[in-house]
Amino acid sequence: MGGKMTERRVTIDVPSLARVEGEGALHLKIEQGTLQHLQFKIYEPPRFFEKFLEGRHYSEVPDIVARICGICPVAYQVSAVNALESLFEVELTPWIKQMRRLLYCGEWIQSHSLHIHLLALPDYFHETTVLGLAAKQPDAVKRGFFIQEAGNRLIKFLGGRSVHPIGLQVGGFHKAPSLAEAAELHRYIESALPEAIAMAEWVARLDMPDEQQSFTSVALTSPHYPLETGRLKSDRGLDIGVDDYETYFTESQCPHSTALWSLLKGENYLVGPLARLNLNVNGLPPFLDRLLAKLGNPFPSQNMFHSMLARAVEICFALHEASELLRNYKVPDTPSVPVRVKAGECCGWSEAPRGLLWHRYQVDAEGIIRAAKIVPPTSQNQARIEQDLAQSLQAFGLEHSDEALRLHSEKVIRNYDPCISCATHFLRFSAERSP
Amino acid sequence: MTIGVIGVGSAHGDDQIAWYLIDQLAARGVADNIHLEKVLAPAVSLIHSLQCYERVILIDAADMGLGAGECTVICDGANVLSSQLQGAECHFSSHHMGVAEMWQLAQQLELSMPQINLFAVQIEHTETLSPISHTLRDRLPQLGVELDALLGSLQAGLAHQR
Repeated sequence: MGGKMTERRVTIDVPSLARVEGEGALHLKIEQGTLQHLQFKIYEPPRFFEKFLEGRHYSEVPDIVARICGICPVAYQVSAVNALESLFEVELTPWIKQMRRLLYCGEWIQSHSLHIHLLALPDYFHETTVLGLAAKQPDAVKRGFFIQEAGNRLIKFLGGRSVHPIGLQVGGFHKAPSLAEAAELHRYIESALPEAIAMAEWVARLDMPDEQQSFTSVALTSPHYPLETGRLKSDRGLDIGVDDYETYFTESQCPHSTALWSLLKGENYLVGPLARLNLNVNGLPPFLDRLLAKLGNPFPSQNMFHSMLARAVEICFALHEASELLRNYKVPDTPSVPVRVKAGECCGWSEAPRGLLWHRYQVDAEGIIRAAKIVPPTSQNQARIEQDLAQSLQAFGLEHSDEALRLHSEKVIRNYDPCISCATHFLRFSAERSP
Repeated sequence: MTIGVIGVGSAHGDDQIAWYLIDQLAARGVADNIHLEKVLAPAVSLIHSLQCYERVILIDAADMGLGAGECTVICDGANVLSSQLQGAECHFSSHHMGVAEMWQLAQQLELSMPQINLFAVQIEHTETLSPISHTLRDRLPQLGVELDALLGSLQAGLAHQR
């Protein structure tokens, strides 16, 4: 085979990547056994959300940004309200802070569970869809759906509905759920946690490639595992607040992608569950310390194939956190606090299921948005995905068949759970006009 | 004994018809044992929704070669949904998981599901983000009558079982 390798010219096009959120493609060119060209293409049309926000009242922002993504609308809402509430110097009540965290737990649970069971797992059982997986592992798929439903119910509890929730506003929530609703939800969450722990143990036993790579993990950190707030740190010394983001991170356009590429001081980096766990593994509750010890705790890890286990661990964390928050749930006197509009510029961030989500807004004295910038996780991971693919394919062996190379490439990309629909929200546009 | 009336749709042209019909039912009012739901990309959550009911009317837009706004009621909707996917190549991006795929998955997992009555309405167009067509809008009262008849027969069937 080695002799044939030197003569081999291969071009692999995956025109439409399956089992990722949105529309993307991959192009590889191998010549003389060397990878000559690799492009992870995002061709989904730009969606112009930042432009849509201009001229809108601040109160409309949570509902507009929720529409950027059907999988992680809460992350968009929370990053936005974090920014606007910091400008308006809103003092949130403990109840509002707790419920924001609870709502966010729901999004992690549903998004991670969907990714593990519908998108990623079929690869590990030589299946192309969850249908094939359901035939081989029906109990695992049923368990996954049961866990995912916990996330949907949490989002509906505070958001009014599980897709594109509408319960959140600048200054709090529109409505507080009743004690009875909280008690019913708490029972479901309590029943889902043991299932999630069993799922994490099962995922840890899957045969994953042992592939170490050098990359920088970037994530929020906080005394309690970070969801909706924290300082941004990396495992290479970065430690910044929300307003300093653009000093360190830059976005640029690549001809082959409708999504912007984000770099940290010119270098690619990783955001998402693996990066979060790498930086916050010491902030987990004791039951997860024990679970990870039992599973031979690989974190911090430089193996991207540990992303699935990271997601499983975060599901356990989010269910436990949600259970704790619901245990002593009380209906507040008011679900929101008054907001006094102030002109200025503001930034906000949070940890979306797929990683850091940063927003910046310019607001005038009437509360109208004059400019908006949104940096989603998939834009931040794009450069890392390409580098990972180049390294991982070489390690896998370019002598493999085209089909094997395609499947391996898709597995690598799915490790990042890219949300392409989120990433394609911006296009630089200019026009010259004659008088 | 509960009946779920679930309207599956999107914001694109006549694909909104199921949502219009649910709104029409909600405005008129329904019996306590009838639950109305509007769903977007149904995916996995629809499996959970369906399991809450004994009988389900699933309203969906369809291209069946009928006149625009005409409807068909298929009482063995589950079998139709299953056969719809036979031989089809499915990738199951979560953006491409519709009612038929969801049903196939439920069958694969041997989940206990209710009897489904498919209330399918012939579309005229489904252009991206366009409003519903005048033809379907004009047909709403008649479609409401036909939906009422189906609901009535399901209620009677449940009463007879009791």
